[in-house]
Amino acid sequence: MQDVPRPSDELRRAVAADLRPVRSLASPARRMLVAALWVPLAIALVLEFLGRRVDAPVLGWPMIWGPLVLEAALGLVLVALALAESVPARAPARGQSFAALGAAVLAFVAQVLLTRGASPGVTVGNPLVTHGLNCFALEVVVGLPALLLVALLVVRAAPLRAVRAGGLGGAGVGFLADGVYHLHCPITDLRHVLPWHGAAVLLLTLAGLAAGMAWERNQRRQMAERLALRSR
Amino acid sequence: MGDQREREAALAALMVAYQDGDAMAFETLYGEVAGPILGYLRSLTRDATRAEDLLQETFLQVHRVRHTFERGRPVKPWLYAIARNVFLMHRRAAGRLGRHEGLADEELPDVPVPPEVESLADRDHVQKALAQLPPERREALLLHHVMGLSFQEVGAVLGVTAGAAKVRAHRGVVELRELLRGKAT
Repeated sequence: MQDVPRPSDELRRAVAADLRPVRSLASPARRMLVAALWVPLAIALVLEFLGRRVDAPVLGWPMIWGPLVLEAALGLVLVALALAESVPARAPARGQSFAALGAAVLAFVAQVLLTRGASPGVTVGNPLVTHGLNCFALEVVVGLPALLLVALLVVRAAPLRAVRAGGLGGAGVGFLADGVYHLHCPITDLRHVLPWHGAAVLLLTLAGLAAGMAWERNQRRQMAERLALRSR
Repeated sequence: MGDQREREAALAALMVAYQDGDAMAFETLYGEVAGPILGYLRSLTRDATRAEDLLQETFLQVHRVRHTFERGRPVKPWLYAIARNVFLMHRRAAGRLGRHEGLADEELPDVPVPPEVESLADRDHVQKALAQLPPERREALLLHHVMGLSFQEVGAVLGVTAGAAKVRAHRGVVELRELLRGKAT
């Protein structure tokens, strides 16, 4: 074997410049609890400013709160996976991530069908168009603070595969937001819920992916610059 | 086994001291693990000079993200996962620039050889056969059989389950043996 090179001057300088003691990051599951704190706050804000869905008496509390609990739980699992993905050597296996994503999608579809079965909801002229954009935008707005929070938690660690972490985090936030928004939107027609609420989840997922891509590109560029400097 | 545990405990203690701001702990940690990590990077890059650059880059990253090491967890998978990511980022950046890093046989650097197959051929032949393995099998094989990581730890580095890591490493060894037997006949 060839000799192992000694630490470069650049490396020594970097270490000497910043040797403050650091605290170990908490486990992904514990950091996920920080994101979980957003859920009761979002519920309170949605109920306060948007109001409870008007068909609540027909639905009954299990069908009002049940879907929220289910989607929030699966959303938080996805957030925890994103946070695990952002710690070296803690990344979940691809199968685990896909299983969690699949379960969340199934939960979303199931809650849409069950809610429709439990209540006809408010009837609108053209369910494919009426209120669609409004619901889509509001659901995205509900999810944005959580997306920001999850992004901060991910970046605070060291996302090695930032695109995957971003996608998982974005999807997790999307399902969280959809669960919370379920407390407000009284339209149960599938032609409204599937495309518009589904699109909000998708957009938040894509936003997470895009943030991950931007982060990764930036890291790659910085590293390429350092390597180019060293090889000069 | 006991030796390995002691070594891992010593590395963990160094890592904790490093997190607490001990510069000497960093130097000692570097001295302990830079060699194996360089071997791993050589096997990934197949370019000795590039591997040395990436080794420095790996330790820069280690320094930057040292807070992500969770006390009580093994150090080696954490380090190898960072090294692997540095390599992957470099490869993607090189790919974007249209640079391809495949090398001619004579340029193959000195990469570690699994003890399981060392006796089947001379070191040169083993290294060339290793280079022919699919990357994911070569990586799992090296991390387990040469670097001494458990399958659980190999899985953690590669982002796959321990079972998948075991299958990859096993297939890698079988394929390597076949390649070496083919060369011998």
